[in-house]
Amino acid sequence: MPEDPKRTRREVLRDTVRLCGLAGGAFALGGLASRAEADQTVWQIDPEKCTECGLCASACVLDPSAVKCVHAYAQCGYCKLCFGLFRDKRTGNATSAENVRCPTDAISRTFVEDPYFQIAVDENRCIGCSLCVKGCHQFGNGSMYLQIRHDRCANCNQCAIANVCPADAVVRVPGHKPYMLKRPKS
Amino acid sequence: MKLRQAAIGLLALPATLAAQTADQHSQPPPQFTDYRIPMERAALPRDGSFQYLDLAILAAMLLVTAWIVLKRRSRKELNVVSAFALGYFGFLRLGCVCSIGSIQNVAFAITHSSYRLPTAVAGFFILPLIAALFFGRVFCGGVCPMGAMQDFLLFRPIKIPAKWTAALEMAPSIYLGVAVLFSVTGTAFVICEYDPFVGMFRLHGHFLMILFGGAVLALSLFVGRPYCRFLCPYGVLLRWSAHFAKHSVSITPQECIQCHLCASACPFDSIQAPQPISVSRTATRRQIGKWMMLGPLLMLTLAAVGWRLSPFVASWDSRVHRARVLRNAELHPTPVKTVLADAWDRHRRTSQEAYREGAAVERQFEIGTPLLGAWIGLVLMLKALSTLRRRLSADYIADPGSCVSCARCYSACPIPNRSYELPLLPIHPASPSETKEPVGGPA
Repeated sequence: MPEDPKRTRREVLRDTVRLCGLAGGAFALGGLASRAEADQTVWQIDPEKCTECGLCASACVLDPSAVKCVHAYAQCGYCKLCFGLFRDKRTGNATSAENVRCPTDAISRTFVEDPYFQIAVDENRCIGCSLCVKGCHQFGNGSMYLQIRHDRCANCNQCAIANVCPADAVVRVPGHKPYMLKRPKS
Repeated sequence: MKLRQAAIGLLALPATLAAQTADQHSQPPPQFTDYRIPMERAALPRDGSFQYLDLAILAAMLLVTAWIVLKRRSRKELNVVSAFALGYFGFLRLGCVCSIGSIQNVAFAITHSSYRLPTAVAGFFILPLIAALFFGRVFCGGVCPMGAMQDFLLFRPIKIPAKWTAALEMAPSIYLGVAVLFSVTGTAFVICEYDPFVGMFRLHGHFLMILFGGAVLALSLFVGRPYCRFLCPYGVLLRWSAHFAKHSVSITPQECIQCHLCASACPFDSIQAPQPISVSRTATRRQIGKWMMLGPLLMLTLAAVGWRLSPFVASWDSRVHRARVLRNAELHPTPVKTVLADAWDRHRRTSQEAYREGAAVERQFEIGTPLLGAWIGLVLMLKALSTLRRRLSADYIADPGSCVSCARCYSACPIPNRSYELPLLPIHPASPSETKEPVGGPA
């Protein structure tokens, strides 16, 4: 190295460290760029593990929660007396407020043909409290289940629901397959 | 045909039996006359393009901030930039991704090969550090929304005694160690969980989170950037990088007249008073020797303490907690099942698996907690040594490590600002022993 009288030992050291840091940063960025084909992960609820504890509604950093009830039509029994819709103790079979389970009236039903009704979940109202999921799981086919909706989810570093989930049902899944949908068993 | 299906069903029986028990009330879908069973709502794919926009904006803002701080030397213009950062990275992008939290993802990605570090997170981790290698902590001054929030609120800064500052400044390094330990073990991302401002950006958060954020904001009315200086773990990395900065804040455009106005104006105690005379070094040398001996001893002691505390620290982990709860339930059976035990049974796994999982995490903590203890010892030792470090300078200089590039000192300096004609000044002025040359500008 040519002797430069203006450059002190400290400055040389400083320049060296800076070059190393830059090279290291460039190397790390390059390495990442080469892996860019790979997918980032997102959070999702494994419906097989979920215990319908209700924490999804309150633990999410968003209000209302990004967790919503999903209805698997192909698995639904189209019950007239749907226990996702109706609560256990009720005054009759009218879908009035005192009879339904959903606290936000997100679940509605439409008549298909006797004795079948189609259930629909309004995601804008749903808060992910899992009351309907519990009812459907206990008395019905389990066609109602919870999923994290990725148009809402902030995809936090550490999902706040995963922190409190007693069943470890909130897991990281690859971004190209962001949902764990229930499919009818063939 | 039906027979064949039945045969297949029988073969698959053991596999499906477990699944069947959960849905024992299962009813087949009805045979409708003219009704087609609809599909669930189409699952929206996640839009990943935002993260590249974020990265581009981050890079651009780092450069703009560097230009404003080092060339324009304008606090007003910097305010505009940090207001934009607060609006965009804070309230629009809801404070996530942020460079501070990205430390955990990097640590997690290094130790977990199954987890891929998202490009945006990697960029948010690396870019501000590279910028700090060249321009000092410009990220803190203009780009960090959390810094902006505290800086805008700073109303009447009070001076904190230097000893307190020195002691409190060790907290970020310790916090960094804790955060890395917990993310490596996969326990929690503590930086995100205890982020004071993310709840405010989202206008929603847990009570404690909002309370903590409110307390930090209230404090930042009188103490300059309390989170940045006394808690931010990313600031530690920036501080290391900024020590090697090519260009950094140089307070006066020309010759310092030693009026002390800049040091009074700095709310972060980052300006070092002139230390032109080298005092007798024997006492200092003895101190340094003492700490070189004491430091490793301290590290060993704290490592031992960490080893003793590791079962306690491990109890923060949900897997360890679950193993202990299940063990307890096995030893002392109660008629009512805990939620945890119930959830575990529904996994259809045995308690033995939970014990194994918990024990594996506890082993990680048995290694990690002593290392954390040693790290804390090292932090204490380095802090003690750094206070003994001799930093000779004839003038008031901004300490590149702790200066957050807020540009307050420029307007405090009474010397007319002719920075536009001047090239960027080297940050380390000639030491007093050498002949002092006017740097760059017209003599």
